[in-house]
Amino acid sequence: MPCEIITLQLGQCGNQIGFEFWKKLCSEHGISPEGTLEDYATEGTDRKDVFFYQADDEHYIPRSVLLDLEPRLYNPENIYMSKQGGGGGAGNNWASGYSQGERIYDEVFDIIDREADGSDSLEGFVLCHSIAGGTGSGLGSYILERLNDRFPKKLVQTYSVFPNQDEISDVVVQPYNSLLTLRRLTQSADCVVVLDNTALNRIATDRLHLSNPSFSQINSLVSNIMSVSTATLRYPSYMNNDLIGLIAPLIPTPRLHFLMTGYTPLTTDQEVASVRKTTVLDVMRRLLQPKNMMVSAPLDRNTQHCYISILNIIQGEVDPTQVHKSLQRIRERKMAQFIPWGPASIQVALSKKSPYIQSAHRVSGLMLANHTNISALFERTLKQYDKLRKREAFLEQFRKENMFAENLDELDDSREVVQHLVEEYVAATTPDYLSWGLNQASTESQS
Amino acid sequence: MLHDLISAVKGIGGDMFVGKEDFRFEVSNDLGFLHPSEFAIVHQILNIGTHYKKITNFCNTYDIVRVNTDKKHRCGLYLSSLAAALLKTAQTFHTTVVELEYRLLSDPHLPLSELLLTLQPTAPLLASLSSLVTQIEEKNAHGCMILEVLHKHTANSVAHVKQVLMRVEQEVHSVLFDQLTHWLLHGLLLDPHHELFIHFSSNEAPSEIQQMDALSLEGMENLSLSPECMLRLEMLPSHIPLSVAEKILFIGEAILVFEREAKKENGVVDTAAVSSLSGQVLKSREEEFKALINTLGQEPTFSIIQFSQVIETIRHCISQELWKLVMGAGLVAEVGDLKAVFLLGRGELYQTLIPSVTPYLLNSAPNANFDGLFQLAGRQVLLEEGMLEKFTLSLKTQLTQSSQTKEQPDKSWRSLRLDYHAKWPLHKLFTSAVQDKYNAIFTFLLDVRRAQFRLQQLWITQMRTKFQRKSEADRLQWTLRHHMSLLIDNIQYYLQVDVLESQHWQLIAEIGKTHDYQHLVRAHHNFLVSVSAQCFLNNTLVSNCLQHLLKLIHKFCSILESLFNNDSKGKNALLLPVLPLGTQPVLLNSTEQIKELNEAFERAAARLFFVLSNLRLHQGSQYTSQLIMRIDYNKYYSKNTAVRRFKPALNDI
Repeated sequence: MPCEIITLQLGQCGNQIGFEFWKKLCSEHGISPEGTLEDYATEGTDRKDVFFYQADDEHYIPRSVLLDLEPRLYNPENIYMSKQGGGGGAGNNWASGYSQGERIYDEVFDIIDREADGSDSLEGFVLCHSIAGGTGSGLGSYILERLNDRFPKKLVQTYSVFPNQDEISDVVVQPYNSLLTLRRLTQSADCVVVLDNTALNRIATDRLHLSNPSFSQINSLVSNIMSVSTATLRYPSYMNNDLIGLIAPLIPTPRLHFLMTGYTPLTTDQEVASVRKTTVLDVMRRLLQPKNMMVSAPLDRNTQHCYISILNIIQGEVDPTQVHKSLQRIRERKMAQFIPWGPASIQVALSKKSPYIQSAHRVSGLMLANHTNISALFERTLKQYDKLRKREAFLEQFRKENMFAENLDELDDSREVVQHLVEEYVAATTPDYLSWGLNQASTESQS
Repeated sequence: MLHDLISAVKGIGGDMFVGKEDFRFEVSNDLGFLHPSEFAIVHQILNIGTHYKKITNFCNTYDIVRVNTDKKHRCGLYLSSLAAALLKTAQTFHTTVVELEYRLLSDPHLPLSELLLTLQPTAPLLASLSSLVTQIEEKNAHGCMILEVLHKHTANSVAHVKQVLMRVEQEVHSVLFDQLTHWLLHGLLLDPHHELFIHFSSNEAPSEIQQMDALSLEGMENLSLSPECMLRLEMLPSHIPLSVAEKILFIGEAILVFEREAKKENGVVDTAAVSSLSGQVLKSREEEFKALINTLGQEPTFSIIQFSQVIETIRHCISQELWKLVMGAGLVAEVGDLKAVFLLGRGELYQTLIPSVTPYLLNSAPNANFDGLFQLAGRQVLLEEGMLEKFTLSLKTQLTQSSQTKEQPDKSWRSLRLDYHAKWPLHKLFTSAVQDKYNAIFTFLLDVRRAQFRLQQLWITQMRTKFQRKSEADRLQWTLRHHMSLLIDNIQYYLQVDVLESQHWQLIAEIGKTHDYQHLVRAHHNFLVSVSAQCFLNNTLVSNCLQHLLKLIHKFCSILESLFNNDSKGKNALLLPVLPLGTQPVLLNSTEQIKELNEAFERAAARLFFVLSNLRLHQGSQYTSQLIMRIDYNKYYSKNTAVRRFKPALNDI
């Protein structure tokens, strides 16, 4: 069956959001925890085959590969756990995760290959991980690179969790990890959906009024985003039926492939009544408000940041004629600023909702946006890296691994790539962005 | 002499008043019996005789319904009933003459003027009748057209004549009412002489004509009607409006749908269910309607208002019954299925179908099993079996006509045709003419979809080469592809959301509102018309622009596809002398070609924008501005076209 997707869950964070994601998918498709269809879900026209395959005994099994270098509570079938036991793990160190990846390459790719062989026409991989820890970032980076070699025609999309800036992390080398992972995300991923823990926590506290949001509360936000962003794949519709159709229009040039997300309505149960009458325009307008964005990027007054592209996935009872009116209103009031160097628009996909989940919201919407302001996030990473690097702090952990034993070129190179990415995003706000790329290319080839 | 005169008046000529071929009488006054002053009177009387003779002659010819033995005299129910009616009228005249004859016998000195005095009052009627007869014979009027002549005559006459003519008209109309009763209540067409304005046509001829003008929407007038029953406009009397005639046609046909074809198509299995439905369509009200028609027939005057009202009552009843039947057959779901397949509502189906069909069309294998591929794709995306069975995909084989088909796979894409097997009783709604409209839209949508698909596939190939090449050419490929795909995406969103989804939404709302079958048909018809209009299928200017853009996109895709193919083969490129696409060798000059394409594309896009803007200025249609807004959301095109149009102006100076 076409456009199947294999999900790879890496590390603690990746597995947690993956777990929430599958929970959500199962409830949306009416699949019981045992993998059988619930009685009420047997007549559906939804496409379970995108994310699940059916075993011989009719059970639905997620196309997912769970990878972790530390043993945790999980115990499903398709899981790779490092045999090193409790003492091993990546120790929150990118270098360790990466080099362990090299060692376990065969075993991991045996699993992935088997999974790929089990699907009729695999479209791509979705990778869930955090960029700050050790396994998700290090092993994730390694797998990203290898996936490109091994499956050159398959898409690789990632859901990457960026660390929370508002609290002090217990992972001291987090800036190193983030920078090194960012390089791979820039070079080897086709599309990165950025999930910024800072913004997620803020949304949880400010918008959902949770004074101390738990991991699972945050993760359910994330899984919501993941499930809605794949809704057009899972429910038959006229457009965006495959991953490429979803992300290709959003990405005009190869490196500008980091997407922000926004979701509305974000409500707690008490507020449900007030959003019942939401219209398409309400939803689309709210999606353009920064407070609903899952990426926190401070406003940069020097640069006129703008949207490169927007895709809104609207779910619920929508009168299609309203879509045009809403688009018109947004355009008249100049609610969204677009790039000056090419055509751009808000694309609106109307998608079905799972019939099995009762929702109080008449209309809800998810925005996938390519916005130049995401560079602020990378800049933040660069700054933190520079701070650490200046002090030559915590480098001995990295030097232990072969990759960094002789020199730290890898770090310098990665910094250059990320710096370059930030510059490109900034350049994308100017009218002559298209020629900017060329100058850059020529200077690079000279050097 | 007076006896001779009287027998001449009765139509029998004698020695003195010689009957001629054209029913006239000639007075032979050789013996000089007549005083010149009597001539005038004799002539007046003879005139009456002439008229009478003409009428009786007509009556005698057409009195009985005869089998069509000789071509000269047509026969028919209308003619004979007219003849009978005329004969009755003429009878009064005949008695007058007989009475006169008695008086003459008893009073031999009856003056000639008395004769004239007695006969004179009948003259206008006879004159009128005879001119009626003459007209009918001259026009060779037949069947219902007799009604027209008669009706006009009645309308133009006065006083006594009018009353008599009305009686005649009523009698002839009764034939019509008789036929209509059978047709309206039982769907029976009892018309051995082809006199009614409704007829069964043979099946072959009209279907071909319908195919011819499949693309023009004007031909949609009769789309609800089956090809078997048709109006014969030349037989429609002008005092019966076309709209009423159409209603009459519809009613009878609807009954046919109910009663006859139900049995035929559903076979034995469903007969119980069907017959329980079919018999009862009019059963409950049959008597009522029969009475209505009867009273119509007894009315002394033919009132078109009453007539239309009765017809409308019956039509309404039938239409509601049909509505129940059609809704019972799941019309809403069926319309949804049509949208899903014909109008690409199920995107994933075509996402699967396009790549699987591509190789067959590239190698122009017209014998390939396209339906098999279609069914396979449908099963792959888990389309419901019941839905899939209703459609077949085939390649219209007109390929033999053009010799260059091998170089133009795009053409063969356009020959793909979907067929939909409507089940009873929906087949009246989705006739082949309707399906032709659907196919025209389908072809266009599929073309857009395919362009989108190819551009998306290019994206991933481009993505993979992103760090190997950093040249101007590379950058150009990216921007051009991106512009193309944005344009196509926006057109696609416009088509699917602004046009199809919205129109479908409206159609469903319409269907929900009405309880009348014919309103359904109209709503569906309107749906198709507005969809084709909003796809700009009828606007050659815009559709040419779109076609040109699509062509450029396909060209671009072909170039890049072969380029990447060669790339991935790397050094083995030399071992692959034959490029799969049959385009010119692209290895060397691809950069140039893409540059050219870029120019051409930007020009074409600007032109599309320009044409649409003009259209918006002149027509102000909402959908045009919708498309413009989609394409030009961040005003990129409005800025750029302004610059473009300004530039050549400067050059001219």
